[in-house]
Amino acid sequence: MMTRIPAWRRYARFFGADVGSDVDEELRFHLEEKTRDLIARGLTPDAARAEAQRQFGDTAEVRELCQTLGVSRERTLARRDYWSGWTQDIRYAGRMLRKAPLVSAVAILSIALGIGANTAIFTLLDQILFRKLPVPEPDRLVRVYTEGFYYGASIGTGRELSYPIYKDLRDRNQVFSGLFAMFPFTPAIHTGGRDETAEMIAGELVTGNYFRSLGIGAIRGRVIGEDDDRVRGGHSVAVISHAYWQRQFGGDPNIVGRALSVSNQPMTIIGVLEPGFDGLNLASATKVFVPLTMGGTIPSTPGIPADGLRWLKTYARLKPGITPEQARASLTPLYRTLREQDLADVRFSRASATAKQRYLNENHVVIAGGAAGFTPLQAQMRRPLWVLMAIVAGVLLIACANVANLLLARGASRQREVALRLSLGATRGRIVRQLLVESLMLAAAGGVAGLLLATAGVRFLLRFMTDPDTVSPISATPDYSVLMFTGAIAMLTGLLFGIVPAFQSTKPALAPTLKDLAGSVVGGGHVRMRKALVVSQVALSLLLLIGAGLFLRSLNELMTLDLGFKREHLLTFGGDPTLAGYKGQRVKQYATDLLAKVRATPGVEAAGFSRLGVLWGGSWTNSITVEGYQGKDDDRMYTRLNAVSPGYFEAMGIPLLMGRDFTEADSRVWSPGEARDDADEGYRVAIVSEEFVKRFITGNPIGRHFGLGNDPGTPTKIEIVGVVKDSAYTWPGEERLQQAYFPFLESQDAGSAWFYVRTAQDPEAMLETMRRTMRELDPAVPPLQLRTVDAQVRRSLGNQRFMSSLSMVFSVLATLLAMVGLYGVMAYGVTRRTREIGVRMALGAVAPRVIWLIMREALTLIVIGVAIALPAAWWLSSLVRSELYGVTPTDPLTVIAAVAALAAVAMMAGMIPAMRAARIDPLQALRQD
Amino acid sequence: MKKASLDVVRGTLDVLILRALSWGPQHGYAVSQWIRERTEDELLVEEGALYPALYRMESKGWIEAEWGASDNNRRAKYYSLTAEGRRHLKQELATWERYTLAVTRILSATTGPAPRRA
Repeated sequence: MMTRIPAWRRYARFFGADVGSDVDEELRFHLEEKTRDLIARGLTPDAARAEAQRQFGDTAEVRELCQTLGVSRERTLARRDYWSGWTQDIRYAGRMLRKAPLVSAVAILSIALGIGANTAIFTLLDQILFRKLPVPEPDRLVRVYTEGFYYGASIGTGRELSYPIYKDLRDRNQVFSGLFAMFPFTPAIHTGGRDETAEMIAGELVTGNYFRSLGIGAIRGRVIGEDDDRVRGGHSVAVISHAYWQRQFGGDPNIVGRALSVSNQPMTIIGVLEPGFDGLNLASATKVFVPLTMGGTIPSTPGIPADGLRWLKTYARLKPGITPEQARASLTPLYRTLREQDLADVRFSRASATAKQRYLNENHVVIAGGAAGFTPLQAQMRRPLWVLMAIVAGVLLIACANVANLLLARGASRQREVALRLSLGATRGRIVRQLLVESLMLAAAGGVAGLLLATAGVRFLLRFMTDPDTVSPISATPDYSVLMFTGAIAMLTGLLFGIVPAFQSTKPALAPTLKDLAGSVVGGGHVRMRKALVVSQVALSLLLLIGAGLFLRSLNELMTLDLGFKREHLLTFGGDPTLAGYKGQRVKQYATDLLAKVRATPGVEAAGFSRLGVLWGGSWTNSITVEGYQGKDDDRMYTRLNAVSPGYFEAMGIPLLMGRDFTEADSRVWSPGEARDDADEGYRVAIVSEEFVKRFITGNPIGRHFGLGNDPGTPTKIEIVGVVKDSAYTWPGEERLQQAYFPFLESQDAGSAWFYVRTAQDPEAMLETMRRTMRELDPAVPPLQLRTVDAQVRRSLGNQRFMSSLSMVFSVLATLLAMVGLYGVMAYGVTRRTREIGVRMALGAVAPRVIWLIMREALTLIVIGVAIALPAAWWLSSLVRSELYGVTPTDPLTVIAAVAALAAVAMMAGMIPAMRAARIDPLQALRQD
Repeated sequence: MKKASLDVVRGTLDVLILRALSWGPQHGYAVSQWIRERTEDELLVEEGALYPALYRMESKGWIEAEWGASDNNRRAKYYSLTAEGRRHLKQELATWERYTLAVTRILSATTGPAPRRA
């Protein structure tokens, strides 16, 4: 029977199994045994060998087969060993983490806060900056717009195309498979319910090739096509989005053919779009689409061709193989030809030679990426979001440093365990791997918790950024790329905070550790490392504090700025009677009637209305010519305009400095179809701002004249009757440019009116009264954006509030994390020096001296941190300059306040362990030995 | 000495090996001789075929191998049944018995199939 082979033979296996020689040996054994048996039966050795071989068969074939089988078996075994090593590591790591629940909890919380902040901001980046239109091949879409000197009016950003130019580009280009345009508008929609009030929803006027070029179809009925794009005012059809169909019509299967009133214009619903597509603005869901040919028929929209007016946001799908650069090169000569033709237009009849020349030479067509559609929120949030991303990256680094710190401390207390395992033959790599598994598990737990935090956080943040009045399609639910991001940073985080402690605590210093004298923990290297980490935490959190301080001061500057009007006890709302079918003189009558009704309301001190709401971001600008003022050649004297009612300045609290306010007499009745006789839009009198006077007029401004337009020979027939103080127009922080106000009642095409109501009591309480007042006058005209002016000011500072509050939250978070780190190191230091302190106290050191002993260490760390942070802050300041207002990036007050705040908190964090040191009982401490 | 021997299907050889090992650990040569003696050279034509079968069964976990010393103190690879191998053998034996019983019944039948009616 089998006898066991000597034990040493096993060790040959340490060099890995040698399958080849094993097989050879086994087969040789077989043949030799067989030969021996055959000889014993009387065969000659030669004959026996041959017979053995014959009975065995093909040795080479068997050998090869066995070897293949053996090698694949070895491989399977190795793999199994490897994976069972990992599960073993994970199980062990889990046990270690459970054994120190407090450390684990603090670590996971730190990471969760860091990763949560990053995930939240990344979600916003992903949803706002990286999002693309849900259409086939969005990257083949481009935006087509113009840049440079332009002559004439525009609606929007000033880069839109006019209808004639759009049409010629569409029909004559060689590079697009479709050039389409749209105009965003906000109609009042009525679906025919009896007690239904009209709802303002987002809509788009679209060209006939819009849906075909985008590649969007209908799930019910059909989309708007080329046949809906032929006759001006002749296609009363509308397409609605899937979401709107569900919300408003409950997914009614018989939706096609239903009637819909679009700003009092009866339309027929011809289709429902496929789900997911909500128009070209990704931040505001468009719900109704109407053919561009209905522009002009629907109130408050320009009618085609609208001649020189630039109002169309134009997009195109590139033909296969055409690059945006090729498209631009191809369009440039075509666009120049179109401009040359344009100059022959009647609009240019009075233009100066310079203006014509500049239009020809200083205007060009631009092709830009159009995958994100038309999303103003993108441009507005790009910089703030990247700045915030940098801030949260700082928070995460601090959190990492914290966890690394905890792990270093624990690594020190686990030195005996590690030393034992090393001496029992574990390799350093294997232990490092095991420690890294621990940190990765911490990171994974932190990542999951962070993801939950982020989801809640984003939901909260979105309220800052999107208009609460419109439904935003930006969702807080993490999608695939957010999950990937979180997974990746959790992994990176785990490696980042794990790798140093893992190597540090496996440093082979066996002998002293195993001896482990006197209960004191060995460790010089890791203490230095921990201090370095704390210094970097202090520096980073100071940077974030300075940043937050700067944003806060900017906001404060803006909030306390003199706006030129009194924002307290003031409320505002809009009313657009044209949406309810009012036309011509009746529009002005509506506004006058409503004003009278508002003024008669108890509690109202003063009221007035204007054509344009202040601080809405919108503007009405025109070049002017002032009697007796010769501007330089390229100074077109652009002036901000508005049309206001009598009593508007009184209601706003804008002081009248000279002359008089408008009266009921400053009005003009236009008969329908009456042509305006000049470029002055029919205005005869005006009130101008202080800045206007300062720039253009010497002497007494009252009785002087100006005119709209800047062409040579422009008549100046508008008489200045009053001067008011400068006031904010589009944004609180902007420069106060020259303004001119016309009498609202003199205008020919009056539309919406924005009311300003000064109240004796709390304006919030008056909001409902105003809503009722409007309903009483005409329920078909809904109140628009009814709110206090104070709320309006805060809304216009939304970006600044967003930045300052978020950076404040994150920097406080960062500082707290850093302080936990500082506290940890100091507390550990006290523990380590218990005996030393005991000796000192026994020798007569008093409590204050002991406190100083500890605090000196804390102070050193803080001072070094501050010394690193200050130059870094100076160096980084240029990055945030554009986000600041009224404060320099190196504002000394902010820096001092940040340093003081940090120092105060840091002293507190250091004081706790110092006090504990002072309470050490020397006897107890010495007996520890 | 060529005989009209049965072609040994792989499955059968596996069962034979497992049966041989069910008496205790053996090296490959001993297993081959055991089969040869019991079957009077009917089944095992080429002894070499034994080894790939052994390796395959080792991978499946039915048997395990360990190097030991033979009776004449030579280094030899000993195979033994694992618990799983024992279970497998039991199962195979049961199947084999049912199978042979069924085949035997047919081959020793005295009446042929009934003629089919159209």
